[in-house]
Amino acid sequence: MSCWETLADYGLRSLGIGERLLPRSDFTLCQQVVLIGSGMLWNIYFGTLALLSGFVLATGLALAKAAKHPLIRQPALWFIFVFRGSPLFIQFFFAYFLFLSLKQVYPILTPFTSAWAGALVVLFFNTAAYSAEIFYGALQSVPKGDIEAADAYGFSGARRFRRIIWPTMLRLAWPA
Amino acid sequence: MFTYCTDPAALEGLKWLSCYLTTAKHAAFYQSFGTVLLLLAVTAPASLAMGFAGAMAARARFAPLSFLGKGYIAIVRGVPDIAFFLFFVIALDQGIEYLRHITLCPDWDQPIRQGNDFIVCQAAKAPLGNAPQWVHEVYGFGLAVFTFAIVFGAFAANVLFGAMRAVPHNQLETAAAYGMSPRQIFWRILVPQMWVYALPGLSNLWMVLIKATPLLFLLGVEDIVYWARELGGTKTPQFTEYPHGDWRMWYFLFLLVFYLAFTRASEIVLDRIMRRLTRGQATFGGEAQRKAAA
Repeated sequence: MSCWETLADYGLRSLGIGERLLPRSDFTLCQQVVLIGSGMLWNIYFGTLALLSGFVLATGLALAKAAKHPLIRQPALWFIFVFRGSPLFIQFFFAYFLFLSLKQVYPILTPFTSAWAGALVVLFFNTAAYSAEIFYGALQSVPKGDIEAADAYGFSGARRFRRIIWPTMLRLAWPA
Repeated sequence: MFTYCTDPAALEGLKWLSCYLTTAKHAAFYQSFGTVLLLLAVTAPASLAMGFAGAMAARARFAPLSFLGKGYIAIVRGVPDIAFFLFFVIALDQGIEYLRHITLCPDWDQPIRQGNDFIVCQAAKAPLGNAPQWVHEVYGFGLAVFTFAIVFGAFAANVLFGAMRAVPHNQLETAAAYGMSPRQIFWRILVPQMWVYALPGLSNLWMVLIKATPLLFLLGVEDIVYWARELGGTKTPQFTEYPHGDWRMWYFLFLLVFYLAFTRASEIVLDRIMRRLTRGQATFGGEAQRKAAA
């Protein structure tokens, strides 16, 4: 069996496509690499989606944590505390059983009991909480002069945030 | 446990709950919290010691020792925790059994690796097949502690190595000018002062360690995750006097709250230690404390 055949048979095995039955004996190096690489497809899927979506929520959370109004600040504080203060492992278990219980009341939530969606939700929240803390720290260290200069140029509200604060925040948060 | 618990089927509400939560199985569940705390209590000093040794090795002037220390830090930090936990526990277990095998059964003629199986003679099993249950549990727990100590020791070594370099150099030069030997400088000047620089990193590490404890479950120790799954699952009247539906969600909610409370308590304690260590230090925090007192 050539390496190309192995790749065709087992390349997408972790997605349920291709040959199900594993080779029994005499694993070649090629087979090992292909099988492990096939599992890594899931790593890429979870990694990219959770990071991308997590970053968006993290920006919102960081802003909410920096807000003056307690009704906006408190939920963000608690969200970050819950997801940073408990093990991811426990969060996965809890979310899975939560979705299992909710499924009986709201059947629309059924997809969340499968790994590809349920785990993604937890990872998304977890990433968001961790990066929100980093973004919050960066937001606090945006130089005061930048904001005053933006005010002087007549930037205000959302435009000031998008053009001045946000880029600086990302630049400061990048190393972390 | 209570006298009225003899017939659980007749009980209701809080009384039923009080009986349910004090069954023998629940006692084992509560004990497993002790296991987690014990793991932390043993692992934290062990990895701190490993870290201290690693940091000392990494800053040694004798080059091979320095390479050894730096290599240890780099290798463990570069590999994901879970991979290390699974690898070390299996590798240690098989390594111990292999060594016992070649000393205890020299006339064994079959290969040790048969396909996916790792087969050694009966006398070389660690622990022995006929050993009591608690020996197996202690053995598994010991392997877990050792693995945790190796992994977290590397992280601690990195933090301590950085902290040792953060101590102002003038302090060490002054000590040398006073005629202290390198050993005296290290123990009397460097080590007492480095903790304030090490603490932020070490407290971070402690938080990570707390959150790594559920990994015990992956190592096969009967910890809180194991019991929460076991006790929370649906129970039918045939097998238990306390039948109930799928309560795993509530058990895991309880674990979540436990970890949150533990994290919060650690934060408060670490804050206190930090304030104590900052006192009198030539740092920004120490200066702020001095001004506040004056």
